[in-house]
Amino acid sequence: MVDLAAALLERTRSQFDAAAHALFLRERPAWPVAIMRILFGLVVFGWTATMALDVGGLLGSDALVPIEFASQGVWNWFALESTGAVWVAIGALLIASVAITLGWRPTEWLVLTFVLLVAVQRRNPVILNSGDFLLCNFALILAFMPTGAALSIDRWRRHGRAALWTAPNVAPWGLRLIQLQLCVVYFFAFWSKSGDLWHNGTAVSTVFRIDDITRFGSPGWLTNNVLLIALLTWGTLAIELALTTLLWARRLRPVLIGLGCLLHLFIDLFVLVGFFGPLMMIGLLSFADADWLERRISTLGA
Amino acid sequence: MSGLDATERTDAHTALIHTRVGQAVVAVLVVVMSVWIVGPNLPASPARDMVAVVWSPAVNAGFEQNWSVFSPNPRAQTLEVVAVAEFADGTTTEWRLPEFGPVIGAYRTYRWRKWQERVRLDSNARYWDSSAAWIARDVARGDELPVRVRLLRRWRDLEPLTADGIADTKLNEFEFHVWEGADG
Repeated sequence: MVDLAAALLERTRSQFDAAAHALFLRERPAWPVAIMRILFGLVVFGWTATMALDVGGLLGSDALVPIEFASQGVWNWFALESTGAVWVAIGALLIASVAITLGWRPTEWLVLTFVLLVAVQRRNPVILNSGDFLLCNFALILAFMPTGAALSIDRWRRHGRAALWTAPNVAPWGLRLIQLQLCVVYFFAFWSKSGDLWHNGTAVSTVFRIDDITRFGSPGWLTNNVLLIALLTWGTLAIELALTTLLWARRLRPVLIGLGCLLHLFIDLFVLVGFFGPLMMIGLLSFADADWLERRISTLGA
Repeated sequence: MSGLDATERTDAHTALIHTRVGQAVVAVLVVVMSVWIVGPNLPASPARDMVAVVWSPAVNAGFEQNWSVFSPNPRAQTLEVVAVAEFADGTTTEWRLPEFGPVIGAYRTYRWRKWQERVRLDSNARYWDSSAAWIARDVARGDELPVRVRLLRRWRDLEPLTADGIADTKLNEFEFHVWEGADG
């Protein structure tokens, strides 16, 4: 009996080790990581450029929200207490976004980007949304990934121009963190939608009638359609739950990535949600099949 | 090509997993980051309060987690904050949020609308005077500031969709703050 228990324990341990190895250590082509880095760099550029246009109104010394209302975290990296300091941070973020996009020492620039984003966001907490928090979190988590391993200046400098269209195998452990972050976002977005409007299938009608967050105004043809609204409301819940759980099933992954992107594109078409949608779509790329991408890109290069 | 050729060194992130010490470092990093990602999202409870100290450094550093979007229900109001500026000669100007277009400009517009959504709340009264003062400078006629700025919130309640359609509701308006200039 004791021998049987010991054998079972040993078998369980070895299965756990194999699963952990496959999940965190088995190397895969770097394509998804590289593509995510490029798209993330572009989003940081867009976020910073649009913020730069409103420095006077939203972040400067004489902004709508004065400096004394800046949020003070325990680790306040550095407070942006003057318009000049804000411009320095904005300028550095623009440089960082270009460096990240091009793949020039992206890990260092990603860490700096996290620090600067937190500083800029804490200058005026009244204007923030979920997309802003996600931007910070992705910057930090991407720093744990070998984002410069492919499609980067770093690779070009080390191995020549021809290597630009090849990707080495890299460790996936950092990728798992961004996948976890993504699933947590979907799960708690689903979990928190506990109100009666979500349950009775009318919530999306209300969302699309909130004029102050709509992109093109309220789409009356849609908000009054009981059946279509119910489909969209319950469909949103179903997709969010599926993206939390079923995304880990390899066979369902391509369909769910497509559904997730459709969900975010549809929301972005009608509702203002800042950079949340683009970032979530970048996050979904972390589930892209690296071997499939490798085959496709090799075919294109042949 | 995947894998390494003869001249290629593996990246630092991947090199970590090639040693036992590196694997231990990765294990610690993954566990710590996972707690930082999941922990702050846990529902409020006495148990959560006891262990929040584990992830509070991450939150304080700017690694925040709050993904409650349109929940538990979407906001059942459409709203607007406007300001009416009165000049010494008795004339008035209405100030509204800037709009920057529906495509790229929407990313700018949304930040101003977030300000509007929050500043209207009584719980954010601390922002009212400085906001009104900023609006006074924004609508100034050269060196002439308005003598008074009245902040108004306008809102319309959104009735739920029913099989009979959507019931109409009236537009409401409430003056929630008055700023007086130096000469006011």
